[in-house]
Amino acid sequence: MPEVIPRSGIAVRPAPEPAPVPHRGPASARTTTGASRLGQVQALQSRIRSMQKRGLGERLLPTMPGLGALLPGGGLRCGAVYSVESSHTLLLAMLAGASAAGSWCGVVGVPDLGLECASEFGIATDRLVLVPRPGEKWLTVTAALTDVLPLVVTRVPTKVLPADAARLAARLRQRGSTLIALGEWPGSEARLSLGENNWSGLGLGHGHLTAREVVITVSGGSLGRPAQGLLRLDAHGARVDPPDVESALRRLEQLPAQSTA
Amino acid sequence: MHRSPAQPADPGRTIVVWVPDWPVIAATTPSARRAEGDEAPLASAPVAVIEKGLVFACSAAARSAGIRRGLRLREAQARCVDLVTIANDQVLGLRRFEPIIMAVEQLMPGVQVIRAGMCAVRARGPVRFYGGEEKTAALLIERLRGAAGDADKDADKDASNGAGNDSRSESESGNDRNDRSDTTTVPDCRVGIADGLFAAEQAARSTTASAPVCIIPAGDSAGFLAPLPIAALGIPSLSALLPKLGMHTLGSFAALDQMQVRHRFGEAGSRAHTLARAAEKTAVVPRAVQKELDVQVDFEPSLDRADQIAFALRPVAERFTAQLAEQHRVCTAIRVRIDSEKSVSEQVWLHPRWFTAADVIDRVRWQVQPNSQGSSGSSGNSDNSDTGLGAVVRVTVSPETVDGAGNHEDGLWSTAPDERIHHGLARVQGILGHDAVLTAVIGGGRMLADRQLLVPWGDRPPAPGGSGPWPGRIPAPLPGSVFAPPLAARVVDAAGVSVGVDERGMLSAVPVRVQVAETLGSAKTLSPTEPVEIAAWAGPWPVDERWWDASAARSVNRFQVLDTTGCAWLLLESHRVWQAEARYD
Repeated sequence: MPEVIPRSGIAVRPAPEPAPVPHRGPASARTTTGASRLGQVQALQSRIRSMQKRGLGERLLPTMPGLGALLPGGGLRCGAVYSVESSHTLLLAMLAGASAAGSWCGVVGVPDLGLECASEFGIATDRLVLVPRPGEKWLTVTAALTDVLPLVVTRVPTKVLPADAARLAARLRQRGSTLIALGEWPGSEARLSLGENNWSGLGLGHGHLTAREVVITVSGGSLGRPAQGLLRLDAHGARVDPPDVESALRRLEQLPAQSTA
Repeated sequence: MHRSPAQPADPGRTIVVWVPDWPVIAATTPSARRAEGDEAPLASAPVAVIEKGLVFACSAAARSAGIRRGLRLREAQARCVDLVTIANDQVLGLRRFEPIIMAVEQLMPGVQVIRAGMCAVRARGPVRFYGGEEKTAALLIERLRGAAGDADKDADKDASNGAGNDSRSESESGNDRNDRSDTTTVPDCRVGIADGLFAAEQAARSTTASAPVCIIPAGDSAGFLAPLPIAALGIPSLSALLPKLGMHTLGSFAALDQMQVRHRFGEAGSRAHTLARAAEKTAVVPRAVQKELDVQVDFEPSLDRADQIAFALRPVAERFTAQLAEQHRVCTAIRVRIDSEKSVSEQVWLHPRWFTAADVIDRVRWQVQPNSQGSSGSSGNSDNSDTGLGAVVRVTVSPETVDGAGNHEDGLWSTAPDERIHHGLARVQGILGHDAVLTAVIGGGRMLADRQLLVPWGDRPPAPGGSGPWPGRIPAPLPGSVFAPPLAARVVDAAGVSVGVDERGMLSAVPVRVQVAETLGSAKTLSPTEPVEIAAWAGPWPVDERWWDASAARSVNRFQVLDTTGCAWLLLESHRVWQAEARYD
């Protein structure tokens, strides 16, 4: 029986979820019977999750639909560090839910962030604090911002010393703020990266980019194997679906049988 | 001081100083320099000041031509064809009246401005001091009409010394004399003294230019007011109604029973009744002299280090905020003026909440060291001298926007998080400088970098202008990275020659490979430092902006390019020079 360590924020969970089941997303609106069952299971799962006892360190920040389910623990945990590999779009997807829900966000050391893209994601730019050029003091500035803002992004210009990372992690846990590092971060809760892109709309000399599908891979943390989701971007906004609905449905077919057994 | 037995010191006794036709005088006086040639025609020409299409005031010449107050503009112009009309400017009137008030204040303190052109003083003190109401009135008339004479000068001097309310007037009376003729004197002024403000005002209005003083003995004010028409009350509804009820004078209105008037006409009618009976109890409320809030510190010898200046400024900044706090006010914008040996720097700083002493010092420090971001830290740096300004000799801090402290008090609930955020961000600004902490506003424009406006924390965001359709902007989905300035890039055809666009918008060749210069190093995996094959592309989309302005003109061709690594770019081409505007990453 795994022991749950109270109040440390590093709770050993009984077992990881068998599959990255979508939290709630447009995929559930599909009109097949499988999809309706998917929605039912999803509702039940979210109910179970909400009834499960959580420690103080287990508070979750809101995320955009579907992204939270990919993350270990089912969402963006307060007081944790996530590492995002080099993609600003993925970064903005991580900020979107919390900012749209009214949180203030901070971005340190990313001077070339596409801010209009951010507002397309639903991020309120007047609550988005930018420190584009912190210079040598990026760690000090990041720490100062995490004191007051619940969600802070920082670009890691060089390698972070494990001692610095541990100090900042302790401060984050105390304040309950979440840090998203753009680059490698020792001891991060999960690492997110984008896989292959699938663009549509652009031809050879004609058209323009209209939609994008890209695979999000979340690895590390308590997840046994990397979880994957499909980030879809088009003129109507952004959403995250399970990578292929078919395989998710197939896994779901087996799920009730296991639970009744 | 002896009490004059003739005039018992009644607390209600009031002196009213009235300048007839003041709006005309204010509007026709040349502002700074007195050009006699200009004034002469205006003084003699019929002039009317117009407000809302009605004559608000008119000059004596216009009056003799039949112009009256309240006349319609068209009618006035018909009666007097060469009428000069001027729009009424109340602010100008009050501003021009200020020197007159100061001249009265030099004679007697405690002046209440009733409107531009009329002010009131409580009679008791001046009458006792100058020895009688007639003398006081005569002194005022002499002073304001500026009947230049040595006797007047002496009287003025004595008065100033004796009253002792302005210790500087003795030394300045010589200078005062010289410039008095243009601002502190008027061609005509009248004085009325009676019980109560209303009676005194009516007394002043009943005078003529040859007999400019009207003194109603104490207790006779009701009798004086009785024959005046109802219209003197200045209440349009009453002056229309009461004559219809058979009451044409104030006396007949005053004869009504007080309680009945109250029941029939309400609070306003009751107050008018009180005025008509000369039973007014309103005391003169002297105007409050605004306290000087500016603070200034001189450095002798001059200082050239920001930390020295900040240290010297600390007590001054604390005094600045303390004197604001005394008046229950807070300052949300300050103007900092720094005089150095070489130049003068003046800047307005805003604050998202209000300025504390430490904030004031921070702003001065940022202004002294404009380029201190990041490089110079708090650790002992010897080159802390402000190369931008040189040695500083004087710092002046003046409040630009002052507001009541009550509007900025912390609420009991729900304001606390914002305050915390502000303190945290102010700390980061303290480390890195004012411009280092930004928030964004999405504005208008075609280029992505133009559309995102960055506003330093605490500054006022620019007016939103992004609501237009902006044909030529990039449709969604938008790139996650926007490079400002754009990065250098290269697009070549199959033969390795740079691709260009001719004047008709035709491509010289099909683009085959793209290469973009290394960015900040954040996205090494995505940034193709080596040439990468192009998988799909579209363009050119010409953008020809501000061609009327040579300095801001921009004429570029835009391309969307997707390379084989799956990374899409927004590229700009101008005369075969390629740049990367943004990256879809």
